[in-house]
Amino acid sequence: MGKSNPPFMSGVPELLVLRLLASREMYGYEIVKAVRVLTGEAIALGEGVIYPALHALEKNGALRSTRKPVNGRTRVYYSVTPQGQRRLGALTDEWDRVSSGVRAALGEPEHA
Amino acid sequence: MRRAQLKALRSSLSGSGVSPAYIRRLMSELEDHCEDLEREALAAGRNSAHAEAVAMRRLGRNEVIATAVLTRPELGSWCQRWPWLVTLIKPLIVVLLMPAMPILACVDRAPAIARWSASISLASAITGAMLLVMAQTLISSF
Repeated sequence: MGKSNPPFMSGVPELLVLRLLASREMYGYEIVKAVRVLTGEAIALGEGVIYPALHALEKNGALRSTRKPVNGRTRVYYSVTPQGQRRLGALTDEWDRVSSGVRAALGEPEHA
Repeated sequence: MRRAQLKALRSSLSGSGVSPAYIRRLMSELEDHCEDLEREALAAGRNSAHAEAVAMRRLGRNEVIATAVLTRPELGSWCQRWPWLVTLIKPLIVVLLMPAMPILACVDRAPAIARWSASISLASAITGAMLLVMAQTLISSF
């Protein structure tokens, strides 16, 4: 299992969840599994905390949920709304800006 | 173990003012998630007790999940989100209810009040009948 790194995680779960759900609808367990696989377990979300994050995104209009019967159980599937797509774009731009800034800083030679 | 842990989480959220409807939804999804985790562990060759332990560990500690809920104001009940509204509405409701309280109290105790009224009416009828008989006896004796 990957280590969790809370100080660097601000906004990252939201970005990953929106990115994953932009391609297809998924339910909570699937999302957590996909995050672990896609990030090579570098990012291991606390599995129980994914739901408050999903519910908050839904409340804010970025996601919508639908209940579907699967093998005698009802699963809650989440998908991205147009508002969520815009939020994903904004978060991706922000992430690119921050990561290129950090990369530039790390690549810079030490000052005397 | 799973039931006890989820029950403890439910109580903790309930005590923190999270709306019951939201708690029901969260619990339902967490239980489904646990079932999936257990199934995964069983498929990996673990016994059922170990699979349950693995599922609960991966789900995370109750305090962490509760904090994740409580730090998101949009998930709180309307009382939590708009405390000023509660402060405003509560006294208004009390003022509006005050005149209605005696009626509501009577409605609430309707069977007792009905029994009491019936016994008073019966007692009055019997007393009245007795007085009438006495009066007629007196009149006929003169």
